[in-house]
Amino acid sequence: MNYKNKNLVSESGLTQKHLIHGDEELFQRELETIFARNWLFLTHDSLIPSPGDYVTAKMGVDEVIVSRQNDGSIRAFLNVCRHRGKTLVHAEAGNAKGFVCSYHGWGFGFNGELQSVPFEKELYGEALDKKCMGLKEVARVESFHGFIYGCFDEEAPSLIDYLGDAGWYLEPMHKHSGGLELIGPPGKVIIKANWKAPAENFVGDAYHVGWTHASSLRSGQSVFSSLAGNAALPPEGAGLQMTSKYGSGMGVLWDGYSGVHSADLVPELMAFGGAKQERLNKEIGEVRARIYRSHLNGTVFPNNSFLTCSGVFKVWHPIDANTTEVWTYAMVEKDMPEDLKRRLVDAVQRTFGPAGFWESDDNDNMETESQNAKKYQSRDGDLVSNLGFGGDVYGDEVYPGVVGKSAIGETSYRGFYRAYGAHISSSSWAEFEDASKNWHTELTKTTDR
Amino acid sequence: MINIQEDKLVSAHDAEEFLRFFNSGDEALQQEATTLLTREAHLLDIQAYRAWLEHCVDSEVKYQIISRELRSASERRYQLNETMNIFNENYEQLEVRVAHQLDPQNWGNSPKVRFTRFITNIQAAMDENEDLLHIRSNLIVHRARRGNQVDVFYATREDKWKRGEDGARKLVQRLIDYPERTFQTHNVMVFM
Repeated sequence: MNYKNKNLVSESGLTQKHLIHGDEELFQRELETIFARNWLFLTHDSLIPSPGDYVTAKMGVDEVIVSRQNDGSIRAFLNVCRHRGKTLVHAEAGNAKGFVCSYHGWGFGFNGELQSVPFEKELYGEALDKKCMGLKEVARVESFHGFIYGCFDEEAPSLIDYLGDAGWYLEPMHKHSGGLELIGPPGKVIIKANWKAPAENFVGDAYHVGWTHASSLRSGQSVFSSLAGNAALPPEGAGLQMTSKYGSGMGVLWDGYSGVHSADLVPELMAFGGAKQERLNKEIGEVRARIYRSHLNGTVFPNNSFLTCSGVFKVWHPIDANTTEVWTYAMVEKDMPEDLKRRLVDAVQRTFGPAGFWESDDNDNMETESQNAKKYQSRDGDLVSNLGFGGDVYGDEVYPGVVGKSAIGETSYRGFYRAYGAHISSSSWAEFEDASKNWHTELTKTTDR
Repeated sequence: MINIQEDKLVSAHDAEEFLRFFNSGDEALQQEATTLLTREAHLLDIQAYRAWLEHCVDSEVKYQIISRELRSASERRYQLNETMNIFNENYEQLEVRVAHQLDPQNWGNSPKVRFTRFITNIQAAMDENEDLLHIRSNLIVHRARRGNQVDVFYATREDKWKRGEDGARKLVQRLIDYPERTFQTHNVMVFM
């Protein structure tokens, strides 16, 4: 397929060809232009605190070892032995001075260097140049306030530039709160959906909440319960949506706190957050202090989603065009009392883990949306994301990014898919940048609904 | 870093506990355990969840399913949480899950989902000091959904059943150390 001329995403991200959720050839193109090019979540500082600590993570369909070095830096390497290609590490986490392949016994340091080869002198003589046989290294590893991301592409913008306008909304919780830690191990479950189906849902779908999650809203005693069964719309001014040049975006539900959790936990979390308000008002101003206590649903492009305040942190690892491995961690504020952390971690898994009752509500939506993308009559149809188009603005004096000033809309879908389409049709970051010169004017058009 | 695993495992991996609880060979206890588990499975299979809570579950219940991170067999130095809770529910939290299952707007349960449970390898022993019946059992749950979605859950359960005020035994603790690290099943919306 010639992806340069293939219009998978229409201008302004208003529609997408349904086949993007099921086409296996396109999936291979995504591995090249999305997953080998963009920043992907690896781990958090709190999960590898000491030198030698490591976790295994996924980048697209590849697996990497992410290890803390002696100087405190973090490096990531392909989890594949350089000799005959066997997986090196089968554990998910640990502390090790190095990694020994169980096939022929080649040993690699946690800095990726090939350090030992059994019977090297006897068998290879001088023929083996160990310096050239280290593990393949992930080109870039950077941190956003303790959240570690990796990128295979040297040409990518820095992580902070990549997050772009989305970073402004994330910093109140990720930085100014006093910082976050991620609690593992993650829950893991396979869903029969394309990775983009949950990523697009988290980036900006407040529309589905009252209907899809009617049963969870009603039974779970959350502060959003009044929305159950579409009994009400969020009131005027209840929230906003935003998107950014590189596709990351989110919805903001003002003062939503940890909205998905139940009445036995939320008052305590609100009191904990409330105690920081005065300090935050002074340090970052009232608007961003309000963002700290608001419920943000979002996706860091391409496959890392979150619900701040509710503490939900997801990675949607692609396996094939209709299969995704879902990892769910809990985010907690570092200075929370231990007992509150423990109960919030359980609440995250109770709502959005493998047995999360909110998460299960979403299964059929994401899975059948993806599976219908393989069907003959439906795959060439258009999926529509035009809700609220024409009202989005860029250059607001308060809110950065392309912003839609209502709680419900599809502003962030459009930004996500504009970036997606530009990557799929580009062969490099330079081409992507060229295709994105007018990104915000494209997203804020008012004439071609 | 916090430790989310509050309690030591009850009996699964400890030979001393095994000898203490499971070598009694008491046929009456074995029969009592089999009856309790079979009746419970029946109520869950027919999705009579409120009756299950009323007749089988103690108000002080701790209902836990854990997932264990894969670690090297020789791992000694990495000290962070090895397990996470898939379920860690008290009675009120089970009530929320039951309400969610029975809600008329739980779209995933229409058309009706079908469950078939198989219980095997039942071993029972009495903890005389606490009048607690300890039961270890293996479980298979078959879930049939929509036209062609079939999921199967395999697990070992470690239970404690306590005698209530009405004389009937009720589940007061269930622990499942789920063997598959990554669930292959879309979700874990099932009572095991």
